[in-house]
Amino acid sequence: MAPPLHRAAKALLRSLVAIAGAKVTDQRTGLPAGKALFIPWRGKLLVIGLENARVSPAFLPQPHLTYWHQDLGFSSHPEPDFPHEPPAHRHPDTPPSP
Amino acid sequence: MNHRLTAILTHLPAPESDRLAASWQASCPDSDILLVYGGAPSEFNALKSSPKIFVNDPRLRTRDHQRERQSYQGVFHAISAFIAPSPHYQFIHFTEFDCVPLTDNLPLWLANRLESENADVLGCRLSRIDGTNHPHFLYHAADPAFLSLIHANSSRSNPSVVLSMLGCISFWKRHAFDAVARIPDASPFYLELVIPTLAHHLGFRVRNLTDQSPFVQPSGPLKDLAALHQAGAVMAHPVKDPSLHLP
Repeated sequence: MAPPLHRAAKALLRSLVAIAGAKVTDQRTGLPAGKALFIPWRGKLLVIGLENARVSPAFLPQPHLTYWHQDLGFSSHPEPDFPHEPPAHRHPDTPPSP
Repeated sequence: MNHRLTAILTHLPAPESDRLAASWQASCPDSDILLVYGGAPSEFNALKSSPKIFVNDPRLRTRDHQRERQSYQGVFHAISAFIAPSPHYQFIHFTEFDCVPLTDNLPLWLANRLESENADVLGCRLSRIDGTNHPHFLYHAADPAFLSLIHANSSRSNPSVVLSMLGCISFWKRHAFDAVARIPDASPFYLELVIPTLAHHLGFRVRNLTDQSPFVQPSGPLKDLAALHQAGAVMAHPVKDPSLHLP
């Protein structure tokens, strides 16, 4: 269990995110991904919020060539729907139908 | 001879675990029930249900499950060893004690779903999380041993895929279950990541029970089971009140 001061600070930050956080859109689905604060910190960005989103950041394609700015977006993966790979099929125990 | 086995992981006291096994057996007459016990040895010895196995794996007995990376590798290995002399088991239904069935013959429902999905493994809240802000992924991405394990076992063209799935319920084709249970190096990693990720990289098709995921939650507890059943649930998790599902 985190110390009371940490818990209070987290609660305060969560409230701040809810009030002043930037809206983030899932670039794959177009749906809202949540709200977040982006804070520069030691050469990186601290992302506070997005606790319920499972997204990865990537620079977005731009139809117009610009040297002075780029868009950084967030996208979720589609639901896993991978086919079998041969080692699974080669297994000798082929199960029966239910 | 039944070819479906429901393995119930429990640490409840012996009388409650016995009632749990009886309840599942009544609900699933054409599946065999195995109690997988993770509680105290004295309670295990007091269990009247048979069959039963005791799991003596400290990696199961974590307190802060995510940070300590709770593992079911010892559990899976024990189940796999138990069924080794029983080749008639072709489907393994793994469930925690607080994941309760809301339909008769849940293993048959799951087996039919497995076939319709052409899958080897079914689970709830399955998602792909590599490269994302998922805390469990970021925690494991900092450990080179995790990525080494995946790369060493991957038959996939993209060895960077990492999946996450709740550990409280899964349904397996036997050979997929045995294949994952046989990998001892999986033990140091969190079960919700390493189980579906290894299954995927071993070449098996892992699919989400999308329609059931709203009723199978990481935390709860759930209480109004009748309402969940009405909404389409065939199972619910977590249900901590034994009176809601014990006879």
